[in-house]
Amino acid sequence: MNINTVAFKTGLFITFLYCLLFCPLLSYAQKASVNGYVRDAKNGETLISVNVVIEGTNKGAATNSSGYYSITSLDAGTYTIRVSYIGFKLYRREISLSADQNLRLDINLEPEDLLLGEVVVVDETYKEESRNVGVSQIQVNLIKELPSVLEADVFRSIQLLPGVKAASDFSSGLYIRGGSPDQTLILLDRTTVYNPSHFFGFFSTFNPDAIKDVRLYKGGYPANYGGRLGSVLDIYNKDGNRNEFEGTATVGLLASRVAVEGPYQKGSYMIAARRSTIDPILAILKSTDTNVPDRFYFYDLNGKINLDAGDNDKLSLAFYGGQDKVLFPFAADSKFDLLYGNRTASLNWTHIFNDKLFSNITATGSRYYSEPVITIGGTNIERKNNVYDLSLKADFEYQMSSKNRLESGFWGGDLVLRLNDSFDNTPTFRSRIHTKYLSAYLQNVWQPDPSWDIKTGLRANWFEEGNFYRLEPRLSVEKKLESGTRLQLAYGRYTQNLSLITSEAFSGFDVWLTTGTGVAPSYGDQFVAGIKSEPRPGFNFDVELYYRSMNDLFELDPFLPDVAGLAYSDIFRFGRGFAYGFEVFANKGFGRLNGFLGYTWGITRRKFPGVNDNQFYPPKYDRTHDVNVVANYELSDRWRATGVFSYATGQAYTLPSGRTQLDNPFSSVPDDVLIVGKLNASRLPAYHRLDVGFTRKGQFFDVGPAELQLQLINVYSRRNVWFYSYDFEANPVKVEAVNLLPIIPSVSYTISF
Amino acid sequence: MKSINSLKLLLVLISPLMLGVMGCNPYSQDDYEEKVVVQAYLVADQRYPEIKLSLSAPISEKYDFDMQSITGAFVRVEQLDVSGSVQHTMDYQMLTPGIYGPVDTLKTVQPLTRYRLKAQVQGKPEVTATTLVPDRFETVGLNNTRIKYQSTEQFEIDITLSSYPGRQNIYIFSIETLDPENAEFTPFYADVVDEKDRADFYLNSSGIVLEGNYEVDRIRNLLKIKLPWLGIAFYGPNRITANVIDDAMYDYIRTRDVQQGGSTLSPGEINNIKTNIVNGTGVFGSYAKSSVEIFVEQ
Repeated sequence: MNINTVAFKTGLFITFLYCLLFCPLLSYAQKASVNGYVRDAKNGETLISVNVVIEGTNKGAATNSSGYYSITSLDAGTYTIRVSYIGFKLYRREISLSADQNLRLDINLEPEDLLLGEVVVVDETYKEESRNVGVSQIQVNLIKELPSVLEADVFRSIQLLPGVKAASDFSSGLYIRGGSPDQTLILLDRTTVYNPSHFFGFFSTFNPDAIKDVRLYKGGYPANYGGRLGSVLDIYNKDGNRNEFEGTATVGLLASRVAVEGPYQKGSYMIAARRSTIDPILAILKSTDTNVPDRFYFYDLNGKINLDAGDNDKLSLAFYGGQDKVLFPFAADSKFDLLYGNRTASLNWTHIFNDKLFSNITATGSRYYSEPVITIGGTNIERKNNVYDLSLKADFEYQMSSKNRLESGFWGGDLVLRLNDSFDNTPTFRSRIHTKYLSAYLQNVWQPDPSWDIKTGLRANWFEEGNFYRLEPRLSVEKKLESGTRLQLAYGRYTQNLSLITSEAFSGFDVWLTTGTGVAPSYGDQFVAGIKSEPRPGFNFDVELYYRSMNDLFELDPFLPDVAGLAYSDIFRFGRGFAYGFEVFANKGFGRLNGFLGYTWGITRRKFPGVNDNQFYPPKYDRTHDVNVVANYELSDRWRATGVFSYATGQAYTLPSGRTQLDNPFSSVPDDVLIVGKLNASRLPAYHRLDVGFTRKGQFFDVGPAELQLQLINVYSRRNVWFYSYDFEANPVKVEAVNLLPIIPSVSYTISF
Repeated sequence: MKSINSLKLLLVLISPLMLGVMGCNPYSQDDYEEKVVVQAYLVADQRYPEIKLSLSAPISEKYDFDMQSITGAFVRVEQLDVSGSVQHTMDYQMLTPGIYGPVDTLKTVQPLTRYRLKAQVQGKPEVTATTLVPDRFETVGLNNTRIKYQSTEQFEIDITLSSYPGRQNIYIFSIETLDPENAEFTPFYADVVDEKDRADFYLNSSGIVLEGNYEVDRIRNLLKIKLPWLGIAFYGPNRITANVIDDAMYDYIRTRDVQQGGSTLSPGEINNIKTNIVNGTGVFGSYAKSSVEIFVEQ
């Protein structure tokens, strides 16, 4: 299928879609509607997935990612509108609607004190989107409260959710339902982030002070997302307090943060910055020890400006810039010099056409760069690695009726991947991939009655590099029982045109590769079944089962030391994989003692030709059982205790069974060679760790409230094993465990103003 | 009440699944299997090499070649023509336990020729392997025989092109000190290597380098190689050797390097070396080489 056919079909698809959307529907001419934004009364932030219900009817809606709701097809009359959202007081208001009236009602919700507020049982006609099939949401406040290694981190917190695994204490990479990190699409204000890591992958680039919402689609994600085989992590920056100026400043062991936000005449703004602050410590260490970097720092800058251009139009400009720099002379005539980072920007326009039609149009730009220079014995080894991604995306929501909502959109862009290597000041490898991409989707949400929610969708993708055109059907069905228990099923086909070269131990050298001639997109199917229940008010109990297939996986062949002169398809190895399992999530959201427990039982396997005798094997991050318990307890008005306990059965590893020694005609030293059987057929010892934290609330002079956080990571200093190393200096071979983190104290102080 | 019933139903449904899958582990680690280990490297235009035969050892035991050596094996190397028929057979005899030498010590290995090893070891299946020897090539130019270390001018050698059917040439460059007892380390090596380990660096090599990295002069059939200062461990007289390796050595060296770390495999994921030995492991490989001598001034 050539590009013109693709462009024609996509254009026709979109044209049909717009005609459908804008076609007047006379049958609704006599009906009324109510729509608007739901915000936090304290700071004016829009709230996502808020339940808005018309009492005494079966009509309602949940706010979308812009905080907007719309309820249509109402007869003329007087109603009570009821709005509920966890952490906020119940809102009720009487409204009167005449025939054909479109009432614009923006709602401000008052925050609720979860400790003291009563748990109100409401007859929820509409559910929280955050408990849809495959979806997990993590509260930003929880991220800042959880004990963390040196720095509060979004990814580390996500790793506590069922279905999400960590490779090691040193990696914030997300291994979700058996997938590798590159199988998760990471979005910040609707913009792709290509290497969201700092400090060699230790934690993520997302400053918790700047973040408003973190939503993880672990599997079975809907048609409005695409481009990755496994999951989507959708993160939004704060909009900024619309009511008053406020800020926070935090000083920690590794880094310090400051964030300010506030209103201006036409909207709001938010700026947050974070920078490492260990420079003085490095300087002191350097005076006594030469094995210390000359320079090491990282920083983040997040910002957002919102403009209320009118009742129906909002503009926002969001940006992010972050960078890591290391300069480490480690020997004579030798140094390690690395600079890597990300830049993103998005310009977003939300527009309310009418009570039925809402749109969100965003222009995005993303850049990732990694520029290591390693000098050894006077010889330079250099790389310039850049990713540039410019795109335009649009999403439309059309409330056709009280039972039908049509969602559609597209995402098109221009992607450049540039990789230049040189050795000893001579170019050795140059690659420039410049490709366009385009996706369009159509999704129908049908609620024949309030107890059913049926979502059918189709996403079409085109990727220029290789001229690949793919269709991805999606389906999800939910039945809500009288008890409130939700039975859920989902299916989806997913494709991916990108593959990531990365290291579990160090993420600063990440390189993205695309499909191309002889390299087809990978694809997979996902099946998810779930039961979400609330056995008691304020308690959630969820169970989900999943199965995923992974086909035509393409990744850089790890056994190629040099790719110069090879055909593009020859630098890859192609394989398959699958994953299945079930997850249990129990959550108590209210009271002095609150928290959650997550359990995962999961299996994942891979197969590549020429590896493991062409048999399936478990990758290292395959962990059969994984349990995380998070608990918060308010000791008093001033003191809060937080604990996290993690337990997981051992990761897979390869146990060598034999050894030999071979002469090396190119070295004075013979080669010590290990002989292994099945790949990754052994298991490391179980991993477990307890982290605790105490927070004391106080006042910083007359400036404002302050919090002192004292944390202890790995309280009983469990020396969890990362991997085994083999020392051939000893005979027989000496096997040594390389351990993960020991006990680590951490302290931070935060002032709010 | 209805929600609790749903919960009970759920637990009843998934419990057998949990018990069933938790109890079984069909993918378990296999036991150690002793292997015959072959080491032999044919060099174009050089005499037939010695062949080492030994047995592997369990990881938990001491390794000593003499203790693992194979004695009394029947070893021969066959020279094959393009159709695979045997043109010539070189018989081997045991010189010392585990080390077998050619009976005819004058005959040389021919470039662009295929050789097959056959070894019969008592109590083991016959061990076989084949290798195709790369074409010969030579060093035809050297910009300067003496250069000061880390000066702007670097040693550059011109070599003719070898050949290997079906693919580009694959190189390994080695640098060997010609005065091992007296030569001094260059600064980088002096900084990172203990003096007691100096012998480990008498012969240093580059690792695998594909011909695609270079601008090839197809008219003059030449390749210019610039020697990086990184490769020079010792001042004084050194020998630079360009080596063109066969598929067997390419597979062995690149998988050996991954086994030792440094690739994208996760820590703890260990591969076997890729071997061309049937009913054994190790390497029966071949290469062509050409050398030139230089002097590195301090």
